[in-house]
Amino acid sequence: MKKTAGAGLAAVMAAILTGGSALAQEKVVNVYNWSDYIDDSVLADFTKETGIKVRYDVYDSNEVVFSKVMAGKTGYDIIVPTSYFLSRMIAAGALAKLDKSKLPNLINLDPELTGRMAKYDPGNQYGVIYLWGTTGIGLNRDKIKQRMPNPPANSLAMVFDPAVVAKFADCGVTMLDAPDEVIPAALRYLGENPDSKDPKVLEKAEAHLMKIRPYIRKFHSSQYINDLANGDICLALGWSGDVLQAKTRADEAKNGVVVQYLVPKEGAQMWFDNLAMPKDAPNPDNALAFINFIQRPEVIAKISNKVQYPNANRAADRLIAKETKADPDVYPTPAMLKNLYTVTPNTQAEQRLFTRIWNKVKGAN
Amino acid sequence: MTGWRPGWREAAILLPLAWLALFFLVPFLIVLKISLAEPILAQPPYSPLLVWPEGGGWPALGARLDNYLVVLQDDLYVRSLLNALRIAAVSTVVMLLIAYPMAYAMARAPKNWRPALLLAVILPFWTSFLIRVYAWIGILKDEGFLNHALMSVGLIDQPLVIMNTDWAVHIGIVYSYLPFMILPLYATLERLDLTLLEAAADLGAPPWKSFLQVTLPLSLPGIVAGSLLVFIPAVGEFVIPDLLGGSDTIMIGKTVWIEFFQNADWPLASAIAVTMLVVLVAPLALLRRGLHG
Amino acid sequence: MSAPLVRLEGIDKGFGGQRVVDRLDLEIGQGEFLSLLGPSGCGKTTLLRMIAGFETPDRGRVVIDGIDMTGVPPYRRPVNMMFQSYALFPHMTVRDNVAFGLKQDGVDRREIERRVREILDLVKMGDHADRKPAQLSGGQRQRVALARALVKRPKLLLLDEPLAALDRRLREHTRLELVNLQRELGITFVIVTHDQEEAMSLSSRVAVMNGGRIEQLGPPALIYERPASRWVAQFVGDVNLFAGRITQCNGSGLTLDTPDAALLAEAGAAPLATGSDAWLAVRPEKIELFPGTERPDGFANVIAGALVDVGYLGNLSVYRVAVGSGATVVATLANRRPYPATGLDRGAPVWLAFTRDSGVVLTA
Repeated sequence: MKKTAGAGLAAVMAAILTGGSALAQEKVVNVYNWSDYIDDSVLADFTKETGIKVRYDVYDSNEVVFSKVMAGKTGYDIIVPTSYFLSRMIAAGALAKLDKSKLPNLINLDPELTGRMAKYDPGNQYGVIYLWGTTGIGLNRDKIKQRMPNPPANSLAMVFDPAVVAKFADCGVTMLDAPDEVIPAALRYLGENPDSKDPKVLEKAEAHLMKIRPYIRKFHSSQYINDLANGDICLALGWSGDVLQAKTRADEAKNGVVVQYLVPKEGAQMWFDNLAMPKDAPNPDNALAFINFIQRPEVIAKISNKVQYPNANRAADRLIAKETKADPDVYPTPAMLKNLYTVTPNTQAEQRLFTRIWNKVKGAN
Repeated sequence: MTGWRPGWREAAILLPLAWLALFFLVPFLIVLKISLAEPILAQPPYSPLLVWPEGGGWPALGARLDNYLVVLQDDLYVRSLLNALRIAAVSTVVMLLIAYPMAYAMARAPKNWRPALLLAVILPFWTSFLIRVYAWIGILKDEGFLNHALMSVGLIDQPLVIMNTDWAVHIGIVYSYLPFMILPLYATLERLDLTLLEAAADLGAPPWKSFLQVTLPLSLPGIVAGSLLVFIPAVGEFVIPDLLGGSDTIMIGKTVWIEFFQNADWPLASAIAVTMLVVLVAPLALLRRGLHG
Repeated sequence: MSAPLVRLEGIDKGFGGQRVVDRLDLEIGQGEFLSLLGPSGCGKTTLLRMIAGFETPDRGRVVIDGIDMTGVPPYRRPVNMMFQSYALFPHMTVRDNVAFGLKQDGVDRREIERRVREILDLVKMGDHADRKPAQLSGGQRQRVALARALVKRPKLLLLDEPLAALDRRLREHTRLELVNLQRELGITFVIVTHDQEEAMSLSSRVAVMNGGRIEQLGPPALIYERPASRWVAQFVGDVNLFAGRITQCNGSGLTLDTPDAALLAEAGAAPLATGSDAWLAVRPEKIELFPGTERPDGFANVIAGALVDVGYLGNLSVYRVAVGSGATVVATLANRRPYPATGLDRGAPVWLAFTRDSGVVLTA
């Protein structure tokens, strides 16, 4: 794994340091978050206000956090798993229930969003929505135009219509290496229930994926950020934040690549990254203080403005910068929410089925 | 009492055995144990081997072979293992073809040059493996150095699609593991008694014949050592196919990764790992017996 | 000598500015057993390697069997070599080692089998054909190396210190075998050795080499009895050298005036000028030793001295005698009677005596 070695070492260090906390009586909170996913000044502000030092490590894949948590004793107080992984951690009994009495700022959370999140975390007992986003279309404007003057850019047809995607095969098409993102999207494109677990319905998704399979260069969940930014690929089914990051990188590099992110008109899967606390968190009180601090409207707004993802805090809405809000594909309007869907977490058996379909699709050629 | 007293000799034998037990046998047994369990959503995410009945008594064995059945029945695993074996084998042969002349030239170079040449072979290790693999992305991608260079001299008009294909995986593996092939080859070739070649020439063998009949068979230990040294890790390679490979590059290392991380199916991942070990070690053991028999 | 098998003409060879072989000419006859004898660094091995083709002379020609082979690679020369280290192929059995050369020539398989068996029987290694070199003793390896070099029936066999790796007893035994083998096969042998005893006992001719040149070439007895120079005399066996000035030289003989006595010797073929410096070389075993004070009769040369010490070697004793000039003269006597002989105690007065034809007059 790309960054696991460093992160793993950091985890061990943190475990050692926190295990021997008698050594230094200073107050700390150990945070394990996605890379490029915070405004650093927030951490300094938190320490200034509470006297709690923040030890901050980053990762770039849910799988890594999940495996660490499943193995236990991560030494972290705060982790930020995505909805689906949160539900699996809850099922595994790996997370601590959050004491809501110590989280007064949750009052501002949008019930529409927490309601959707409840599918993964019934009663919202274990996670607090940090930021959220969608799974949609990332593209290189000029390369797409060259190959198709009037592309159905805001449609899943871009990647799921064999006749369309075939036109872009030569400039590079990638998809997330994540069956629980791609299979529901395929179902949605086919007009089926994206949340279906029915093997017969899933078979349809498999059959359809096989049709577009020849035009997909790679299934990968992070490399497409750089590849889009550099112009090495021209089309990706990916996460909103990643595509936006690619756009930022391309803009900074001034390499002439114009990256766009579009929410498909057929609808897109929503994902939520949640602040959560491992059951064996060494500093639970500090963790709760951290979560509460993050959910202050001005703090979470600062983060959204920096990293360009929407949050779930209604009180923060008016503090979001105009530029951030300008593009509804980036920062969906409340009206768009009804077109966004979520999927129910898989059972272990369903998961094996998804994996098998996925492996068949990837291995076919 | 004049009993057996442990001496240095015994300690010297015990040391590698202890090493092997501690860092191979124990982890292997743990993996084996997990491979016999059932995946569950818990910490840790697999069922216990011994199930203690409530109220005391003998524990029941919770071992099951389901995971092995899945590994053998679902052709994905067999296919990804075969794929990995094929890619590793092709890479090993290519490495041998590149490394042998290099090692040969090094072993025949003037004595005072050799340390510098050896250093040149090892030098890339001073840069992180990951950075070197990333560097290949920069070289091989559609808009990369290689394509720019080839297009600017007019050899091609369309970029070659190398990145995200098996070609890139082979290049990455060959590049990354080449020193491990060169070093054992160099060691055997450097030790080769040159009067043997003179003897062969004296008996009427022109250089190419004495290479085939003397140099090559005598460097066989180096060839075997080098090939094993690169083949085995290449079979399980994960990083290179993940970064350089395409959607159809399915190698066993990646499959294990998916089962372990993406599906949190530790038992299945362990079963694949155990199967892979058996597939790799069993022929080696047979080969060893064959060589000594 | 009929047309020579090997002719070396004006050979020069140097390594890194160091001249190793210096304008050397040599002819080797058909069926000859020639020794190249000399101290290490005298160029004998380089000379051998130039005949084999492993080195190319800087100047001069190597002609083998009438053909100029100067630039011809070793695998195209009708010559085989037995290496000092034997250079047996460790990954092959004895049989395969011996068959190697025949295989290169594309000899028929059955013929190879027959000839390998034959040559292995000849060197008494027939029972060990399936062994690997590592399973053989030093002597056995030596014989396999010999068989491998002989199996192609080369016109010329080169042997580089073939006996150096053997222990003394085996070496003496093997020497005899080599001589017999050479006689039996009629192949020309050229052997490189630093051991003068080996050269003497094996060869029909000896080339004594020093500093890249041949100091003397001839049959062993001639080299020993009539050395051409002080260097040869001293390198081949032990010798007493009496330095002096020639006072008389004519048909009847030669007189050399030395500090101890006027010594008489045979005059050589070429007359030597009176008044010039010269040395009389006398081998220790050619000197008689007489105890007591009474001067012995019947010897052309008699010198008085005192016994310094005696070295007892079993069959021989070596006596060291101090003479008037202060030099020490060595005499070797067979112990024909029980040792110690009477009257030969340390410090005892003795007489050294030798005949006119015992010494050789040397001017170089």
